[in-house]
Amino acid sequence: MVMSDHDDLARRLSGLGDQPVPSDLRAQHLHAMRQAADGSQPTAPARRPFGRVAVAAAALVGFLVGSTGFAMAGALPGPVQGVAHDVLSVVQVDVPDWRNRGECVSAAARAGDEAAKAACPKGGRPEGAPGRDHTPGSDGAPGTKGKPTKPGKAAGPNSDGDPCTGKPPWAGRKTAEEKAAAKATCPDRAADGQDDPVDDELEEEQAPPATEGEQPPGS
Amino acid sequence: MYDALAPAVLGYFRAHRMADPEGLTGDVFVSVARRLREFEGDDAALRRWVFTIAHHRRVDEIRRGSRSPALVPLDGTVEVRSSLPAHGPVDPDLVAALATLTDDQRQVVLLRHVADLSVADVAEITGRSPGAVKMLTARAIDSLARQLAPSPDIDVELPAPRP
Repeated sequence: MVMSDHDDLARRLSGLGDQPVPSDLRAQHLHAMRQAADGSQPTAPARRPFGRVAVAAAALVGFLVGSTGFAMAGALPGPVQGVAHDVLSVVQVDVPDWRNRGECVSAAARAGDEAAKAACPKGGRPEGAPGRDHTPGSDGAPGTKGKPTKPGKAAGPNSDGDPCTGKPPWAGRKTAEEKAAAKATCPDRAADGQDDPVDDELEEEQAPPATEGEQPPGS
Repeated sequence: MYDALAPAVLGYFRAHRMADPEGLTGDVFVSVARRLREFEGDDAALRRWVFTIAHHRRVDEIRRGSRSPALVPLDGTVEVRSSLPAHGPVDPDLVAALATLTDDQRQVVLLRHVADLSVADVAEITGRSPGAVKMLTARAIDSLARQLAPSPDIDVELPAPRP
């Protein structure tokens, strides 16, 4: 009974694949098959020639080529030119680095090319000029950054020629005679008791060492 | 070749309730015509090749979602294109019962009985072991037999149509 039911079911299932194909549909399919066999593809959907990825890739390539060309011509702004020099030097592309205008000008001068010299980027600091990070006194010129120096405070006694201003002339390691002579040049300051702290330290250093423990108790 | 295999391919797509079984059948045979010169084998190999293409085309259509499966009305009839000549419903009770199977069961039972392929061929096409194909086929047949058995006490409930 069960087997007969299953056999009947199998026959019904097979019958699903026995339905004839309509004649017009059969003609359409055979026509398409003939065209496909001949090499044409009438049923293939038309595809867009360029996709989004292709457009994005083309834009990226254009940007890279253009920026590299400007960099090789040295037409980029100074900092950008320097970055292009650093980046493209990795791939062995020679790009001028004109972050320093002086190099550009000197190179043009050596070559005797006035046009190249004129093409050097403007706005850079002249070579050797103190910059923002210039340290006062490093090249003998006063700095423009920081507090101005107060006369007589940090300068020595001879900075302005007056021994009664600034550091006392008797300060430092000097003999008693030298100190007395120096104090004689500025008796007012000597009378105020301005003494050399270094001298005090020197006196302490020259004091005899303590003899604690060496002397017997009660002495 | 077309007359021998096209009815089975068309029935395979219709039983799967594809939205455009006629168009899919045409796509399959256009693909066959393009590469027919490269084919070597007997009739059984040709049948296996054609239904391999049909199976892949169905999977592609489901993944793409551009052609959603046709909805089976509650009365179990299959929608037939009005442009086609009327050739009668394709066993509406059976198609409705097939809709209650799992996709795996329906896949193997249609390849076994509609495409008339061997267990080994179905296993190769679906990527399953022959034992799994036998098990799925047996469960599908049992389920179909229960639903199609003439029993007035049992009402067959059709599943809700897939969106």
